[in-house]
Amino acid sequence: MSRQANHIPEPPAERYVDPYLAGVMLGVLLFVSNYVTGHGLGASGGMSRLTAIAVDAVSPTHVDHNGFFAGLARPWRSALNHWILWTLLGAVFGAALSGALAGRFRPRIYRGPRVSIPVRLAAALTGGILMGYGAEWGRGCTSGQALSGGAVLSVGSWLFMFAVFAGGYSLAYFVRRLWR
Amino acid sequence: MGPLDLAKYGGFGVAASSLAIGFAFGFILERAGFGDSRKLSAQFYLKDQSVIKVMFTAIVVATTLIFWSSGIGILDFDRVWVNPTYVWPGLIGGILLGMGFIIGGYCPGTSVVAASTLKLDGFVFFLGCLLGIFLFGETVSYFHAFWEHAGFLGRLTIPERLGLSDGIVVLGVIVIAVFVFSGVEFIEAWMNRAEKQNPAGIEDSRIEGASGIAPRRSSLPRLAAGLLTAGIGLAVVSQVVPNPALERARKRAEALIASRERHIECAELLSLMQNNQIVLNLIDVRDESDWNLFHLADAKREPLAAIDPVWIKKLSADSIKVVMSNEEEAANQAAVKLIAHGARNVYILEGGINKWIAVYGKGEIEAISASSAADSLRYRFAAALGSHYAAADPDPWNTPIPKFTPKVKFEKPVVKISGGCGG
Repeated sequence: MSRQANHIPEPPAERYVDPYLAGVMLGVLLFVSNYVTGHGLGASGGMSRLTAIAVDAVSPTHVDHNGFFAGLARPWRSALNHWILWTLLGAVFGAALSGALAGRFRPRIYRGPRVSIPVRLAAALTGGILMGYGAEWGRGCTSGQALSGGAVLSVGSWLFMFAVFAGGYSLAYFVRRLWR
Repeated sequence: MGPLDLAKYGGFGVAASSLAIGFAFGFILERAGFGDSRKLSAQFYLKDQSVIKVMFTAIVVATTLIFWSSGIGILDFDRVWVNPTYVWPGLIGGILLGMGFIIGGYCPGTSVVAASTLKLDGFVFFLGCLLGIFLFGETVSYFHAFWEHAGFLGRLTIPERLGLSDGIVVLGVIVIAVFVFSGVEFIEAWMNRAEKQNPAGIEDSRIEGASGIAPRRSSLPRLAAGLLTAGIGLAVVSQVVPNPALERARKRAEALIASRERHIECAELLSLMQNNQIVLNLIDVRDESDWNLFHLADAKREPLAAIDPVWIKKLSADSIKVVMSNEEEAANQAAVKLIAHGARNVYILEGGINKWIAVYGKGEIEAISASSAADSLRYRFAAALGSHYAAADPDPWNTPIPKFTPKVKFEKPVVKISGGCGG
């Protein structure tokens, strides 16, 4: 596994865990989460709270006048006081440790073979905006809605999951230059 | 019995458990390769379908464990958070999210994983998410009513929607998953065989599983065998053994009804009917012919057999429900069902419709001396006027309400464990 002096430094081929094994581990974790805490996993909920905190820091009066942000940051406690932010913090450490153990803890920009760095970053920002907007519309993301709600057989979560794949596949052909 | 009472340990219990669960979450996602946008986006080009394999495996494994433990009574499913169903907002959000996924290459959780291993594209995506959430907060007022109400069905699971037992649905999900996995493996193999004939495809060799590296022996057959065994076991158990949590709830409900704390006098019901500040559900469980002869104004007929969990879930938690039959027997059974399935503020009309007519139908409705059958009407009606008899809606100005001991105590819905996303 030698690395060649190339204009794009390539690390050795990534050796990831078998997807079914990873799925079983994730499923067991999801069960443990439901058993211990009474709810599943989540990510975008933590992001909503971070957003509300940021808005609050810039303009508290704006939060007071916006029902959505006030609902996250106001009623009787800080937006920070929520389990999901601990989960998010834990995920940062867990991912960093796993990456470090596998030699993947290093700065990089993952992108398709035919796309420049500025385009990739612009796409990441655009995709993120759509994702954040969509996650609020759907009251959850792939973790909190599709995965967690899917596991407790929520009707809405399954509909949501089909919509996610429909959205992805419907656009995949048109943005193929980003990835292929 | 789970879920555990974390409040017992104060804020520390929640923080420590969430931190540990989050740690494992991030670790597993990174192990699976979900910190790499190329691997995630490859799902939508069918070459590396790890996303669907990991996600769907996680869902079926968790579902199997959750419903097994609820089936044998070690997990109280009623206290587990089930994402409420909002059909239309959910579909719109899902489609937007799927588009964001293929353009940006991550989802919120995986962008955190990527950013935590110093991937700049993951960090930028993460910032994009915050920006998207901010934009939502700024624009939600334009479609707030739609977002809050369109297709809102509350806490609704697939077994409840289909009217099937949990075990059968879990088995069905497992069977579908095994089919999907087999299909996905087939498509992957086919896509990558085409790739090998095309030298340009070599560029993708750095994505594990895409090509280049010798494929590992598939773990799918073992996984499928394990899941199917667990699923069939659960389906059998759920048919044979009644749900212990539901049995316990039924016993508690029966004891409550037997205590007669929930039987209210006619006078109290009349005062409720005349109180415009409360929402009242009058639930008449008699058969159609009795109903046609006479029923209370604003009552709804719901035969005992039709009172099922799905119907019960649709009742508002904030309303006061008064169940009635001719006497009390059918009403008692209906009330037990309602309470056992979690309905709040359920009461029974003491003495039923017969008692009501005895009190308010004097001079209008003629009594039959005796009736042989239990829980049947003891009155003769000139015509099937339903609620058009004066006794069906006693005149508030001319019907004095005698003193009664009020029994209705309004219970607010208990605060449930809340889920993570979206709020």
